[in-house]
Amino acid sequence: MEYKDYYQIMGIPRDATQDDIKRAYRKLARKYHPDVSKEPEAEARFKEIGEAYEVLKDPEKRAAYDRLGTRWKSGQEFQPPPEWDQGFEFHGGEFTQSAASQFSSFFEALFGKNQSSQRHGNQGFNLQGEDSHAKISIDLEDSFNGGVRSLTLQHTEPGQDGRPHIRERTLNVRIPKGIQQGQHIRLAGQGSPGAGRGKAGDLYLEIVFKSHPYFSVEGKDIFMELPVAPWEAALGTTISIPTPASKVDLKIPANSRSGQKLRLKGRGIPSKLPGDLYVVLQIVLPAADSEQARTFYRDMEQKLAFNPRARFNT
Amino acid sequence: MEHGILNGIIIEENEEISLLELCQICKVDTEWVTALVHEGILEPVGAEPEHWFFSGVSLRRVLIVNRLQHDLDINLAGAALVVRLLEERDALLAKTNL
Repeated sequence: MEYKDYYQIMGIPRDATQDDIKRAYRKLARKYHPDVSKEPEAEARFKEIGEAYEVLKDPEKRAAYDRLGTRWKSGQEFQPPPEWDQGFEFHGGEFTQSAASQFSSFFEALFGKNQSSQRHGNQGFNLQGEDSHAKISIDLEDSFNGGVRSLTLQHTEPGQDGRPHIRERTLNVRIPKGIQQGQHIRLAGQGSPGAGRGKAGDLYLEIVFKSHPYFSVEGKDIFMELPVAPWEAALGTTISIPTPASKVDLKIPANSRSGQKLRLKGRGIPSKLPGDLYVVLQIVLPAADSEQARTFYRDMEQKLAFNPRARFNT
Repeated sequence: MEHGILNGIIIEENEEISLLELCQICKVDTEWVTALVHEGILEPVGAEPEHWFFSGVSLRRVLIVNRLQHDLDINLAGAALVVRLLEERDALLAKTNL
């Protein structure tokens, strides 16, 4: 297993006070909290910080950790010295962090497993299993067409040696048509197994849309930017555009402005009251990169009495 | 490995989750959820707690507020503000497609 430098992880010196440690933790936790953070790897960082804080905030655990000395470097191959934990008594096996079951093997070698995560097999009781939660990323098109997505979930369960093992299972989930970002799908009986004859809990999947190259989503409505040539916007035309369901012909009215929104009613996410598709026009100018183009622009300047800044009253 | 295809039920935007169901799904107690309602984080339909029904959005908010309180040690008013700002930010990000 690899040595973990908890001081380095929290960015504090080894002689930091307990107050310093708490302050560092609060700052890092706010920065990397998975619900709040847009930092890459936020979740992994948050777990790492939680583990470091679990050790350093507790004077007993911190003293034991400090006894390993300073010769170790982060990531270095590590074995706890023999009898290293003798003379220490850790009060209770309870860890305060919710991620305690996901602490590193380095942590477990030093401080043991979280006792509270080991209450398996209440024999003689029939206890309903707990509901569990996960996220699933889907394409916007899945919400239009339905479809089956597979999802790999990790969970811990007691192995034959009595220690928890990480097991993976793959579920094939049918994505219901019309599902929206942030909604949940309930999969009955796919949560944690029950004890005795108790039935299993349910699994709740939160839907997250993957980002799309040209559609963005707001609730049931979909937005897209449509680049148009100046003459298309000025004279009006009909353009074939992609929608998540199929291609449609869109009529651009004459004298359209850049930024103008055209609404395609009912072309948003399908449901009893389907959302709308909004097409935002974006007028793109041809580059004046040839003599012919430059002449043409000069010609427009002379022939069109056009002041784009008329509202400035100059 | 499981090969069958699982059919799930969408938790609708319609208010259809009872107080007890919400507590069981999110592993929280009714008192705490009641505090969330009084803080205005959750807006169930129904006058009395026994007749409260919550929307799918509530489910998400309960889980986020629970994690925020637990991990960052902030009070309900602070968590309520964070949730509102997060929802505003996510809407803006979705609009700009970032």
